[in-house]
Amino acid sequence: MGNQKLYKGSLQTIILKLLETNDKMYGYEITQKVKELTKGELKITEGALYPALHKLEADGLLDVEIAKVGNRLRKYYKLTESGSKETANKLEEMQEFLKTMQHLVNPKLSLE
Amino acid sequence: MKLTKIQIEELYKFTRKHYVEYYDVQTELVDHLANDIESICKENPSLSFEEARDISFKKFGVFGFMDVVQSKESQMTKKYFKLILKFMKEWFQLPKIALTFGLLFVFYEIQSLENAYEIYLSVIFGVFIIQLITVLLNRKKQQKKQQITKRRWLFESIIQTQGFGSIGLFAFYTVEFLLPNSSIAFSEMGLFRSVLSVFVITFFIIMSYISIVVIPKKATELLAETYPEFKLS
Repeated sequence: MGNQKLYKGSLQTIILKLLETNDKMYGYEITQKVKELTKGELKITEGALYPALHKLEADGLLDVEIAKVGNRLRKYYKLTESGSKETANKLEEMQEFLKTMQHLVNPKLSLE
Repeated sequence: MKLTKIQIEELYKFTRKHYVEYYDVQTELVDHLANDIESICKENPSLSFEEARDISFKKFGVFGFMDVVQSKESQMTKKYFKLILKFMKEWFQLPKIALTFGLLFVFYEIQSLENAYEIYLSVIFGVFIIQLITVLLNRKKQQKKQQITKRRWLFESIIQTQGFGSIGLFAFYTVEFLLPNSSIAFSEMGLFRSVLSVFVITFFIIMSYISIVVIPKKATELLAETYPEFKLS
């Protein structure tokens, strides 16, 4: 398992990207999906996931939908219009970040 | 294993026991715990419901549900202030802008009176008292309603009681730091401060009116908008 701290600043981007691909998701589903995609390398903790979702909702990037599933209520999150735009921005920023890090940690490779 | 209705109820009780007072926050956590408990039990069928629940709860860390509750509170408070701003904008458009100008004019004129400072203070204090009484009355009403429905909604609580506190505090700091603090200083302030104080008191009255009258009046509508589960539950 890698250093979870390194992923911390990217939580919002990860959530937005997942919602872009999956239309609507609920909290638990997000944690499981991340685990599955990263083969257990990244585990989003519950204590970090929900505050991040609430923050994105407060900023108007996410909208919620409630559905009755079996005997309980489930809250789904999906991107709003501005959420979709922000996802594109954040992904671009992420690419830049990855590039810069590549330059820093592996200068030889990036010169080619 | 699918959790039963009784077990779901147990989870609601569990969140309440761990200081999650509001139904909307509880609902999200209950679904999360339920999913996790189901998957824990699938992997390890010998565990009891309570054991699986405790394992799942531990994943929230030492502070338990506290971070989730706090983030929800700050999200809803933000929403509340956005709402106030939305209604404030109406006061700068026709026809309400006439009233805004009226208020500004009246408070500007009052400044030429000898006891202007006392009048300003009495108005601010008067509005504070009205806020306080409204909070107390609404709290009682909410408690009664909660006894019947057994549910508390965070945004409802902000609309009916908590919101005034934030506005009161905001007004307090504005008055404390922007206005002179004695009758003599008040009568001798320059044009900038005297115009500023006219705006401060007018804004305070409009904001209070919105939070005490306008928003609570639309509460049902606003809550249905905020909580789709309002209808489902």
